[in-house]
Amino acid sequence: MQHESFAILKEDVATAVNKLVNGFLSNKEYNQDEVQNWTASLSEDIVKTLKTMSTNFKFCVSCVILQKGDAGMHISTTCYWDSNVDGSVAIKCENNSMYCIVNIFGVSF
Amino acid sequence: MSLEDDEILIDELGNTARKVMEEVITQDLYFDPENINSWCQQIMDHCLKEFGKLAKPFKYIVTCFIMQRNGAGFQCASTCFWDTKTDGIISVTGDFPNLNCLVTIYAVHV
Repeated sequence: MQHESFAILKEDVATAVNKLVNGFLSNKEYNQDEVQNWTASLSEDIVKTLKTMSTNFKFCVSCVILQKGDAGMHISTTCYWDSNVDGSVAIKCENNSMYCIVNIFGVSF
Repeated sequence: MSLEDDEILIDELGNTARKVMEEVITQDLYFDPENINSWCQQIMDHCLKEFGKLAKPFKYIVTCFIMQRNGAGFQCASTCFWDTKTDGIISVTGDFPNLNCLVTIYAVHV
């Protein structure tokens, strides 16, 4: 059975998620009491959007919100999967007070 | 509890990741932009090698996040759309004097 490749979806996913994240950040300032709710609700919204794009993939979405300051930071990912059909997208957005990094992984099943 | 051939214990993956993290990131390491990439790679490659040895029908995604401890706040959340009976996620954090380290493992059954 031919599996759909994540590469076909990649551009649409990147566009949709960029729009979601930028819209989300546009009116917010880093607030340590709220940020836990923000990351949870943002990653849920992203998964809901992804579900409408394809039913052939399992999706994992990781959302990091980092306060802007002097701290250095590094994020890496490694995947053990079938690179012909599975794939990932990394989205980086920011506003005046924080960075938001979203990693989306699509695993074919 | 004995496992079937196509089951894994997610806690075992977490313990492996913690052990690897503590081997690579020693207590006296400072955030170093030149070496940070190789530390992340070492942690992830070592983890994936150990997971591959389990020879179970799973795909693995490992994410490694290392941040300098300078007082800045951060928050990480994951949401997954998968089969909750067969797939799993575990996050392990390391609190070192000068660094924060977070390793997240997603295990997806094929």
